[in-house]
Amino acid sequence: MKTRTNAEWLTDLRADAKTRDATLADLRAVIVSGLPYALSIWLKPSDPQFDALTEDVTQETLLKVIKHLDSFEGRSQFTTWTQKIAVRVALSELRRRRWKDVSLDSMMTEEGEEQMPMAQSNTAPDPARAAEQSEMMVMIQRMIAEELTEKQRMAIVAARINGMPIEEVARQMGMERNALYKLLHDARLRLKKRMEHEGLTPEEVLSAFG
Amino acid sequence: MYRRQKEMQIPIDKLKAMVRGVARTQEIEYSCEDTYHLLDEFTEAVAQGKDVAQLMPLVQQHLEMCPDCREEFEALLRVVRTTQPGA
Repeated sequence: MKTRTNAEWLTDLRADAKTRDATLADLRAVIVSGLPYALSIWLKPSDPQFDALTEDVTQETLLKVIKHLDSFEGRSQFTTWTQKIAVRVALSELRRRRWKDVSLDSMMTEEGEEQMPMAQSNTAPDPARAAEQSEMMVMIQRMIAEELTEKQRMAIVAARINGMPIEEVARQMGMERNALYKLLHDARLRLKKRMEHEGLTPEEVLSAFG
Repeated sequence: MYRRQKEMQIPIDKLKAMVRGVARTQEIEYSCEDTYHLLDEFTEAVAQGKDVAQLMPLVQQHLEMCPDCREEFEALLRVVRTTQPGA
């Protein structure tokens, strides 16, 4: 494969059809060589899904590269920029596959059907400490109930407690990933300010739970 | 009329992680798109051993707060370290 500078990648991708096709073939090889490392903790090359996923990701990445070529600012190597796009495409698809059968509603329970949930998780053997933990739990539950909107609570339960990727939470809530991050950021800010208002430091909460 | 509200379950380990997240929350934070825009540059800087916390603190902070972006950074770093060892 021809070694290219950033400027040469851009020139060759904008050149006549023959040069462009050869350049795309080289870029395809770059993407394909990186994907096994990008996906190593998700999918092994021996997995039956691997080859088809690699092909789909490579194809979609090349289309995006062409479409967004003008937005490349030369802040990194062109190949790193391309790999970044491939990583986003691949992980988005893997997240969607992994979480497709899990709904946000299944993560929520109706109030009253459960005991105060955190009290069940109480682990302190010492009664005084257990009481302190219970009191802290109630206080935090109240802050969450009073400060956060239902959407924020739903996003926190899904993303922070059940570990659903925020991209997937966003998709199920009909939002962009960026907007969901903002929703969670606003929720954290509200809780931070409320804790400050109550004179409660994060250290106190953390030390109460050992 | 009382409306039944959705209630949340919080195991203690998740609660502690959430409190740590709240403690690290900044008034101004990069969004996922801000971070994505700089992720290739940031990842190369990490691969080159640069002090990214100093050079790009807002990207660093976002990656600490956002598991999706952190996964993408870690995946890209594996690629860069393997395919561009001199990056």
